[in-house]
Amino acid sequence: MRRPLVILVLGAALGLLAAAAMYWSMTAHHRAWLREEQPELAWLRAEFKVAPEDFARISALHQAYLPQCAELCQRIASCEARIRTLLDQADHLTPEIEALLLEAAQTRVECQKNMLEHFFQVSRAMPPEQGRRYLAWVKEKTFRMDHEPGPPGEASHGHQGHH
Amino acid sequence: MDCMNHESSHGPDANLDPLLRYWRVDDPLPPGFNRAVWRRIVAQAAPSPVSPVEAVRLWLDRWLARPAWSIGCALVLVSAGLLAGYWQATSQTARWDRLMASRYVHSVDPYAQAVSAP
Repeated sequence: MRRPLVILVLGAALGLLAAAAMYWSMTAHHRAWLREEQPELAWLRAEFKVAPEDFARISALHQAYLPQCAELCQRIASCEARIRTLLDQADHLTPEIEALLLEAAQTRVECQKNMLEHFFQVSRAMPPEQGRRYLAWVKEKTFRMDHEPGPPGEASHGHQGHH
Repeated sequence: MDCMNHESSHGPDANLDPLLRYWRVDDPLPPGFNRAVWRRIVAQAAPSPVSPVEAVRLWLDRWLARPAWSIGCALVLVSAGLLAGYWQATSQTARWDRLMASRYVHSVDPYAQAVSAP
């Protein structure tokens, strides 16, 4: 009884150890990304198989784009807040509301132009096949007709490092 | 028992057999002797109640009597551990991938940022 029980307990302990080792080794890359300053860029590098020299260029493009993106974000938020305030008080379409709606539309066009420009630059920095895949993916994620955000759990990460 | 061992090691004693054949017990049996004997036989034959722990121990004894079984069970446990680790890591990395993709989209999409702004 004693020896088989020892083997069984040893098997259970080895099983736990095997589970931990498998988890540890398979998540090593992801855990390394999470320790980086911009884990989303580390993810991009791995997902689209970006070579180190291309990644340096993509990182530079990303860093250059972030201030423009943050500024547009501020303008959109401010514009929408003003529209909301006016709409709360208005009972008909005023020239102010009309002007703000126009400004919001212009900001939207500027935002989309900037984004597209950035996406094309990033895709050109990738190998052609991956660049096409990146463009298809990012356009699908960002050019929604209603600009609805993703699930709340995912949407709460967007502002880190921006404002 | 000692006698049996002695007999089996040296063979039957030729003088002992006739003596045993003529051996008679004249004393009567005490009253209730037969009943007492049967009562003891029944008491011995009745199975004693086994506790659940003991039952498990007996079951394990039977299953693990051969080392091959216990080694097989240990291998199954190690394989289960590997599979559990693999499954857990796969689902966790998929979760992280979705999170990173969402973070990237939010970092490049001012509208997503404006919508999620407090």
